[in-house]
Amino acid sequence: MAKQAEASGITQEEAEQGFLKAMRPTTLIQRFATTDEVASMIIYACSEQASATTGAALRVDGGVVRFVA
Amino acid sequence: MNIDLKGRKAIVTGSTAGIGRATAEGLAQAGASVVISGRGNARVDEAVRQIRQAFPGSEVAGVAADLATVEGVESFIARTPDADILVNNVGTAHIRDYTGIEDIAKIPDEDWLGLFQLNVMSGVRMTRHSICRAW
Repeated sequence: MAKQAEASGITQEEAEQGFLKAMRPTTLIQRFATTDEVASMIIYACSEQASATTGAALRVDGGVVRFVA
Repeated sequence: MNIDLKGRKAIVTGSTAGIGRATAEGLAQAGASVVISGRGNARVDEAVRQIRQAFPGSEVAGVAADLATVEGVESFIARTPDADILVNNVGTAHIRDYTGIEDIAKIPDEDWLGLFQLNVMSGVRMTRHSICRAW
């Protein structure tokens, strides 16, 4: 994204917003998820608190996919 | 809610940066002993140093290996303790730089197969070892 921003003469934030608008128009959080946000789900899934969560596909996608199945 | 992973051993592949790094740090913060991985000794050693510095008392070790190859995975497994937690994080979306459809069409089979080896087979090989151990 940084390379694309530099090539286009825009800021990285502008490049990210352009990407989200064009390629992820359904995003509810209107930004990229952070590495910590993704890691938090992974760590929760590793914990005893997630003992009844197994064989599940858990999303950390900012609400991009607009259905719950 | 307090996530306590004391006594647990974790492996996070592809963890010198990005999501893998954040995951390794979070697991270490939660008390797990963590093995991180990357392809080069220098990056792995530096990541271990930084994590230990950021989280004093954490148990973090690093192993350098190319997990896109059978030999790399075997070497990694030989050097890492068995783990309770395996996070198959290593992967990439970058084949090569391209600027248009013509460039994409020129990406050779070996590049696509390389992606499969890293993104899929590393996880298969690492998990296969864990499954055989668990059952």
